[in-house]
Amino acid sequence: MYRCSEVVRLISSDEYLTAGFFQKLQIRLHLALCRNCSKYARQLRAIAQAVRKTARDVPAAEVESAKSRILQHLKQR
Amino acid sequence: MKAVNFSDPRFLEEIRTRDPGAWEALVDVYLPQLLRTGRGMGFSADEAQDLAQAAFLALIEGIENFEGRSHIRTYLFGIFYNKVSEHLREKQRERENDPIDEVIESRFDSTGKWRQPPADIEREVFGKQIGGMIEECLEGVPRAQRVAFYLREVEQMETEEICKKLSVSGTNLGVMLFRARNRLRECLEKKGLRKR
Repeated sequence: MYRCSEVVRLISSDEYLTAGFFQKLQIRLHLALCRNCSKYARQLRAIAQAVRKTARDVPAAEVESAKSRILQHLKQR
Repeated sequence: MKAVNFSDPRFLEEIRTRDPGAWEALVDVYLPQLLRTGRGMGFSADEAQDLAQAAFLALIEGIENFEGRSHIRTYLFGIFYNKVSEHLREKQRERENDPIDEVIESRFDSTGKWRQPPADIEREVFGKQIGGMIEECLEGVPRAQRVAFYLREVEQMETEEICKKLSVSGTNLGVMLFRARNRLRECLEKKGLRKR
């Protein structure tokens, strides 16, 4: 059986993705039984989701100035 | 601007012959995407612009090598990720020791059980008025870790693909993701506890 500290490492490093069938089963079992670890795993998923929501477009003025500079450079090639 | 089909052989021919109109169409569509990606990875506005520019210039210089087997967007983004990877190798290599490692270690007792279990952070992550918290915490994540985290969680790339793009080993990527995720979680928890 895995310890909490190991489960935390395995899930936060994505190492569990490459774990074998039996290992994965043990990790899932641990998560099902351990309130703290399952809470931790849930929080990591929530954080990822929240970060996805922060992605936003760059202001048009910024794009425009970069665009004219890049087109200038491209013309010289 | 008229819609352009970027897979059209005629368009690709114009790209190869360095037709200014075709290149402008390409920049129009993909520059905003590249800048958004660069900013999401934590680069400053200037750095993101430099990286995007370097990608477009590398694309035009080697355009003879582009055979159209992959979509030009994929090809361009491949070059962009290369530039990002070069930039990281110059500026910031992943350190062997990172203070976050100890922070995590101290949360467990010698038998590996939680000594200091995770506190609730749901309000910090999802609360409207403190929505800026996650952005503040992102600022505290070192560049290479943030890029790895971005590719994994925002672009949702497979870990193997990220290793190729950033030229890092699977172990190294694991360390970067471990540190990025725990840093964010610890930061949100700390900010949350201070508010209470």
